[in-house]
Amino acid sequence: MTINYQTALWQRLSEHNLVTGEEPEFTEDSAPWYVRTMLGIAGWVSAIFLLSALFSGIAMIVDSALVAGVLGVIACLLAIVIYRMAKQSDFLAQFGFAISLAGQGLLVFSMLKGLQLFEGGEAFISQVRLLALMLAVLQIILFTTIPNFLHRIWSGIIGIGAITFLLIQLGLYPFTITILLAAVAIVWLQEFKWAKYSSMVQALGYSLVFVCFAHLITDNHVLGFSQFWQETFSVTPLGGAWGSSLAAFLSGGVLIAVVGVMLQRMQLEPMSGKGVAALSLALLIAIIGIRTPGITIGLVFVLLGYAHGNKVLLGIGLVTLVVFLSQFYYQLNFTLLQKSLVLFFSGIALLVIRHLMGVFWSQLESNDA
Amino acid sequence: MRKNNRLILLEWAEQSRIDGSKLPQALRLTDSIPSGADWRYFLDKLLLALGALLAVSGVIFFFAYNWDEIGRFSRFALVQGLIVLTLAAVWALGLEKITGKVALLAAGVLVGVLLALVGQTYQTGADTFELFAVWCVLIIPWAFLSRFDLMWLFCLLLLNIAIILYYKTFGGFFSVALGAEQLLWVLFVINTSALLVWEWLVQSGTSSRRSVRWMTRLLATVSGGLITALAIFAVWGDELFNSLPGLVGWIVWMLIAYHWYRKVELDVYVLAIGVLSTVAVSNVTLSRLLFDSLSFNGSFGFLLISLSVIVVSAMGAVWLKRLGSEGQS
Repeated sequence: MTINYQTALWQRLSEHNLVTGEEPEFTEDSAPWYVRTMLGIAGWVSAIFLLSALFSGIAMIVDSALVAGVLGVIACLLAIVIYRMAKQSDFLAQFGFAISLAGQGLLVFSMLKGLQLFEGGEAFISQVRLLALMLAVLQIILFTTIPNFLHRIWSGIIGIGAITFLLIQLGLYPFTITILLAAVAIVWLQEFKWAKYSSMVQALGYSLVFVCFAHLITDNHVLGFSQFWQETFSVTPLGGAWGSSLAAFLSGGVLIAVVGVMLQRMQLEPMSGKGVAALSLALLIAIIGIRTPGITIGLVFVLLGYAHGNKVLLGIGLVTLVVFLSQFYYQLNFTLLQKSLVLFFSGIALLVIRHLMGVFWSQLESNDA
Repeated sequence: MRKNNRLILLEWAEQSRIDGSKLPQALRLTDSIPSGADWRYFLDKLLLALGALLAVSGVIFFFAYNWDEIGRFSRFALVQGLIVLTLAAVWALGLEKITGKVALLAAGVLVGVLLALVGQTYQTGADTFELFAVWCVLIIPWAFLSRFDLMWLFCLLLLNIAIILYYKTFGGFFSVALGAEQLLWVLFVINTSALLVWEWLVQSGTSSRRSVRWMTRLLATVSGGLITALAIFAVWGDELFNSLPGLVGWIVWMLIAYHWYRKVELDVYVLAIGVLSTVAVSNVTLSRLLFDSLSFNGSFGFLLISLSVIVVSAMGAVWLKRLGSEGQS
């Protein structure tokens, strides 16, 4: 029945001259998100045990950065071979994931030992930066060479996390979250255009979303994250006291740009009734987002997810909104009174807009027609 | 497992069977991306949910601020006025509409704010768990009236919080302190009962299963997670009397879940939870056997467990995919 379904879909598209060539062979879904999550958790646990076996079994690893590094490289290469040779085997894919994670663990251990990070010292900051750079390079190699969604998500998250860390070290904090959000928007908006590389684009898109979410939550939860960077890594936040608000405002700009692209795709003029209404709503949310950046970020995820029929991305956006609000309570750079006023009046404004939308939408439709 | 249209089309585009420039048209034709009417429906729901969430959060934050310049009567008037206002909205909108249901949920949240205000103002000396328990009891009639999934979920959340706080205050239930397992058992019984009631409602045709599948999955995840934790406690426990119920409970849960979500109402998500639970419990058991009973050497034992996790999870994934394909046929 599933095969028939795909055939029917192919024929339907064929009738409209939207497909070319022979109908592709039937392929099953590699796995829905929850099976992939289950495999990811299990792969991670098995890698920890594999690493434990290596460290407890081969004393040389603990003593020598070189041995750990060589074994790490061999394990990563082995994982690449396993993944490329057996794309359809779940057993080998799971085995490859554990081998790869163990190899990466060994490489990180080797780097830590080689850079003498365990000993501390004055060069600590530059060594950590070098470690992040090496990690980013390693993950870029693994991302491009291992053709597996789960592994690409892992490499994407670690690699983008390392690059974000380096951007912060370059003094771009707190604008790093806006950069990440812009990257999220660009990658997902180009999903259809770059469909030739769909599996890579999707993995990259989800990884960016996860790192952006993590940036938001850690920023929000740990008061004065900027203070943390300043005290630990001597990095002065860009823009001083206004930096965070400006970054949040620029994130609002990303939201407005996303809405603009969507209007364009629906062939609606920005100056048409619906265009003005949509852009005004986006602007209002961008203004609300200056104090509550998580709302802007969550809404960008939600809009991208809905526009592309991607329920997982839509769900992540909704979770971002709820998690942000629960974390926002503990943010100490605003009083609870300020936060309550922003939230309450923003909520009322959105409800009023909803009501107006119900009243005027059909009127706009007739005007735009 | 059948892919949705979006994924099929993206895969065909990746194989150059669909030209990139024609992909949006193909997606529109197969309803994989929303139309103008879909956008209207979506924005309507999004603005309602987000507006209500922000407004109610604002009220909670306001009362948490405990502003001295507002007298106690003004505070009570404010929160009670808001409750009356939301109830008036419920009356005006009616409970058949989603807006009416959301307004009643907002009123339910505000009841908690009122109770907190009572505690804050009069220093009643009541324990925090009492606030959540009373809150839950007070809004249950509204949950019956509204027939709104989120309202029921909110009541269940309040009940869980009340139980956890009770346990934290007294260290046990009914004057018997039996450790964390006791709390897990109580939470397991409550959440599993909620799952059973939910399944009964769905089967009796009261709810549309299609629209509320997330509820089944959420309750099954909580219930399965709790019984898995109990089984792991049981495996690591030293006393057979305390350990046995956890393991037996886990086996019974797994058998019933397998029967129900495999034979009666296929739900691969819940079965995936079962597979993950099996990976966890089987490998914790293996660890106990290897390191405790058989006194294995660390390195070899770790290697065996690693391989076991890989094999069990991969077998589970193969099985889940096969079930998914069956479900589509």
